[in-house]
Amino acid sequence: MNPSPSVPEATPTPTEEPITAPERPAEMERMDEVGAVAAAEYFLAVEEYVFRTGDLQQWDKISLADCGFCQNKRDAAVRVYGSGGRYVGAETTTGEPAVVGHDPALNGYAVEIEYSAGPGQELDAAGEVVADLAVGHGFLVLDVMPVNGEWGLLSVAGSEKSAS
Amino acid sequence: MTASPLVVAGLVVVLAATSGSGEDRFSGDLDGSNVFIRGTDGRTSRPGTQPDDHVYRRIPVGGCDFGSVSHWTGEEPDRDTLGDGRCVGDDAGLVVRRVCDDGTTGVDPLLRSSVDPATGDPVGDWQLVDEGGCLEEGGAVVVVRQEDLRRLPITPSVPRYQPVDGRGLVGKDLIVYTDPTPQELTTSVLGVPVTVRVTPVRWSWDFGDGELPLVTDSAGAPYPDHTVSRPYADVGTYEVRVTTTWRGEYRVADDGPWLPVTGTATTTSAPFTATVEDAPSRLVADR
Repeated sequence: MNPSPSVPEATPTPTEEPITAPERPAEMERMDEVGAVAAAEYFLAVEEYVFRTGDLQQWDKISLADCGFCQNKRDAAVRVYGSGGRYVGAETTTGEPAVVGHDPALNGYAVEIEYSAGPGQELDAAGEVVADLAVGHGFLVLDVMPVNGEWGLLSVAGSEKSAS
Repeated sequence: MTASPLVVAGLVVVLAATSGSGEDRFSGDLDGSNVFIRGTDGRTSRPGTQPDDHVYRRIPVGGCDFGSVSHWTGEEPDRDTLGDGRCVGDDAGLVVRRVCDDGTTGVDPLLRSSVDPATGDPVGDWQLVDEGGCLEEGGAVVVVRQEDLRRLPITPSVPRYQPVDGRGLVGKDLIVYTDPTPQELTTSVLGVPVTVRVTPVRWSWDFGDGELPLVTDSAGAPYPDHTVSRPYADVGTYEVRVTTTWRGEYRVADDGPWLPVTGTATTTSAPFTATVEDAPSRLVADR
């Protein structure tokens, strides 16, 4: 009959979820369309990880030498995170990937993924906003191809309308 | 579209881009300008008996510098939007063949791909072996072909044999062997000096007895390590010769990569004479 002792409820404290690097999907072992789509999705996940953390370890592994998008992303990450800054916001949603091109000679695939990006900011080390990232929507076409048995990212093109 | 697009290293132009106000998180980093490189049907060579399991193609390329589009969506570049001189080639297919300083046509880039052993078709990615170019630039712009290989003064394998005097007995092995050491020769292809290395990979011994030649991938060895031999069934004099199959590799610069020559060459040695005698048993008295 004794009332159970009341235990003060712990006040939840906001904690930031640790950002973990994306895992390579097993489908990327396949050198076909399924593998290409898996690679494109993985590459976008790695891009998200780079955007949130500045960690380029995986990014450098997937970037092919001629990938301008890869280099630009790299430069931006080094510039922002290397100086103590970071990105906030710019949450993205992506649609279903679709293969919109294939080069049988190179076994390269163009994989289109629709995206929407919310507003975001680039912050400096002091937390001050140094740039605004606009809301965006469009279609990314990732050119992926196998090099030495591994999928790599050759280029990323953008368009406001779908190529398919 | 019969053409296959290719991206040749070093030809993709990337415009510098920065992220900032007015751009979303992707737009500023996109590949703003690509040079579209398209290969057309190229001359294909496939190694025959070589252990190299690649297919090699020299593929002419076409190039246009155009906006932010994928290489492989099948879109034709909008030539109206291209600046002067940014799109090279003819109207038929934007094929680019370099015109060299002397007015000749440059050599197309060489690419290679692995070969599916079951189908013989190229599989996987293509790798740039050389960028082609013009002869005056030197480098790997020449290709040594089978006909070049067969014109080379390859020294035929020298047949060696035991017994050393070529005199053997009916039913006893005549042991043969030769030297498997590769040879290096220099030649000139299209005016460019090339080093060719030939390696013997197969020997066909004709023992002159009317039987089929003994074909082997072993150079053989002298007694007691011999691996190639044949006993003669009958008394007689036989001319023995060896035909050697050579596999070739070549390189242009002293430190350049060795590239396989498609096909093989053969040489046939000068014959030697084997004399086969009977050895009747005789009764001899003890002394």
